[in-house]
Amino acid sequence: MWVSPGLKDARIIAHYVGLFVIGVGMAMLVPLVTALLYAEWDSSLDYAVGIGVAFAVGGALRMALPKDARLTHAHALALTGLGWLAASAAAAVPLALSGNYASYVDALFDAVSGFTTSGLTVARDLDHMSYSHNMWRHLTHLIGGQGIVVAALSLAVGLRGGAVSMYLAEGRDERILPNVLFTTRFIWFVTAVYVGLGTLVLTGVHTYLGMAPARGVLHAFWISVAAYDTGGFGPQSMNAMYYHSYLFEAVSVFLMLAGTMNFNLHAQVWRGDRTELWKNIETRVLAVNILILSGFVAAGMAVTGTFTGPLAVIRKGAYHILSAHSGTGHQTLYPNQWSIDAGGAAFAAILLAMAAGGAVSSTAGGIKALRFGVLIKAVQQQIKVAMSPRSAVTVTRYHHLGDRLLTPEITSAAAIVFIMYIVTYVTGGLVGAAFGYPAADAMFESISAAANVGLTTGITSPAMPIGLKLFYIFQMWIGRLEFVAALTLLAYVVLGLRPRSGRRTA
Amino acid sequence: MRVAIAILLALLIAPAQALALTADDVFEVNVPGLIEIDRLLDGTMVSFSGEAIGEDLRADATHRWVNVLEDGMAVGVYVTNEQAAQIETYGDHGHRGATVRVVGQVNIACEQHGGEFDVHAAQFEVLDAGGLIERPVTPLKAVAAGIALTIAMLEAHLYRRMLVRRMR
Repeated sequence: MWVSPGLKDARIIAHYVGLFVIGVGMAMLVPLVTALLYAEWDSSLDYAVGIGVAFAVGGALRMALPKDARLTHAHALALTGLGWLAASAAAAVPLALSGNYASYVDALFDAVSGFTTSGLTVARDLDHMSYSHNMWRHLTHLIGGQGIVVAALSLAVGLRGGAVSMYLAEGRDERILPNVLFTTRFIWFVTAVYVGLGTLVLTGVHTYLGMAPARGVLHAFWISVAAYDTGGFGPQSMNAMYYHSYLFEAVSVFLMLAGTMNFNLHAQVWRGDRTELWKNIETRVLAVNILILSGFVAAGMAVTGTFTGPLAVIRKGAYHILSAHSGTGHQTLYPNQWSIDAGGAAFAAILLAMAAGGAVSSTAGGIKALRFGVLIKAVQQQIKVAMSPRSAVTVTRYHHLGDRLLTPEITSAAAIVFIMYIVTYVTGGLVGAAFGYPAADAMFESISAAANVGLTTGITSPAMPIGLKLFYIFQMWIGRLEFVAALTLLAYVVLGLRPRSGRRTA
Repeated sequence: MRVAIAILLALLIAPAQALALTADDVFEVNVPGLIEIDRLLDGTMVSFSGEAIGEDLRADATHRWVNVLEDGMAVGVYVTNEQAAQIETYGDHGHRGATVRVVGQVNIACEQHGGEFDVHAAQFEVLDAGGLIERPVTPLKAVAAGIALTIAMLEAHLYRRMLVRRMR
């Protein structure tokens, strides 16, 4: 039986979405201050407008709160789905005014890409973008990487009931601490440590390279945020290629790896349990995948013969496997080099790394290593059952923050998400091909969008058809929320629009 | 017999050598065209011009990297410290960078630089010094911000009143 939402449900959701939008407006104070500090007067007005619009729209939605409002699990799911879209729509306002985007849809594309930590961009003339707009683009990574709801919960902005549901709806499978508020604050603490360390070390690297102090610090902060939050935006059009530095790439690899690890794993290691790092099924799956796929990249590069010597293969091949697996999308190759210079095996390996993704409850996207591990264990169990006598009871265990029993519920949950991702990847590939792009490139771009990676073969550009931009926006959004919250919202809309006769209300 | 083979080879190779590219050949390209370049031209001399962006970055004790932008795409150019010193302005939000002309060897995966796509400059010339970019303030944005913030303040007042009324 489908439970149809009524007007009261819509008002509750609108109220909380309004709070998210106001929160986005408050976050815009950071780029506003940046603009004022660097005398970017016109850009500062972009943020004054952005803040005004966010406060006005958010304020109007906030007033929708009905009497005796109680936030249910379904409300939490739907408002998380809608909240991400509304936050992106508000975040796009100053970007649209910046002059670096051809239209509002393009600005929305980058806002969604920023919040979902995808890193695909349709910005024009990125090399002349103001510091304040770059600050805002990277700040969307920082907020979205941890989660918009996590951000709201850690500040406890008027979110009372349904907090756990919203937290889980945001693609987080696990709590770290018993209290969800402490969990969200712990996530921010871990992030602050890594981003702080990354900024410090990269500032040193940039100083060595000869960048001016202020510019060096800003670039260091943005790159640290983009790498740790597995986002992939960069302040220059050349992305990571701009710096021509082994040191820079080494630091960003460290940050990407840290960002792709489960926050729970960080907590375990910080508590002193370092063995968890090696015993955890996620770490093992990630390590094996990275090793195998790096081998395929090396094979692909060897076939074309363009990249000679182990140094070039490691620097270009392994770097991109890590960038793809972690869902970061930092690039040290030009987009067309994937199809021309890297070779078929390398192209396919990057595709698989993007699709697989990082760890659950991390800032990474994609199917996730834990689900792969569970499905591999499920296959193993099936083989064990087939080989055992009928009367035998077979049990399979796996280690993930403690020893766990593989149950049919765990297997089916992993399989459902796995199938949903595959369907999304393939659909996006078909849509891209229908717009006239080569099928392989279209599949690459689709996986990059849905798995929130950000690597590109060159399809994503300001010249991309608007229909494809909108489809990739949808893919980035649904991929980041891992389907449940997004599909609940869609179900809410469909059921809410049904004729009232003969339906049950929530 | 050996002499005959040598003559035959010389006859076969001579026209091929005449057609083959030499280091003296310089292909005029633009930066996007350079990145899309036919892979057979890897290692040949190219010439292009564009805007120097960001800043020059240390490559080694005697060389710097200058990133050159044209038509939305940029490429790293490996130049000597002296060549880099010719540039006074680099492109960023407030500046139009110097327009430079580069003649150099294109490397699709440079062995010296760990597989980078780069150009090793043989000749490097500043065509235009660059300068400031005027970014005038748009008054309409200030008006829009004022209106939106006024509406927001009004709504905040109404919301507070609504909550107070409900608490009674």
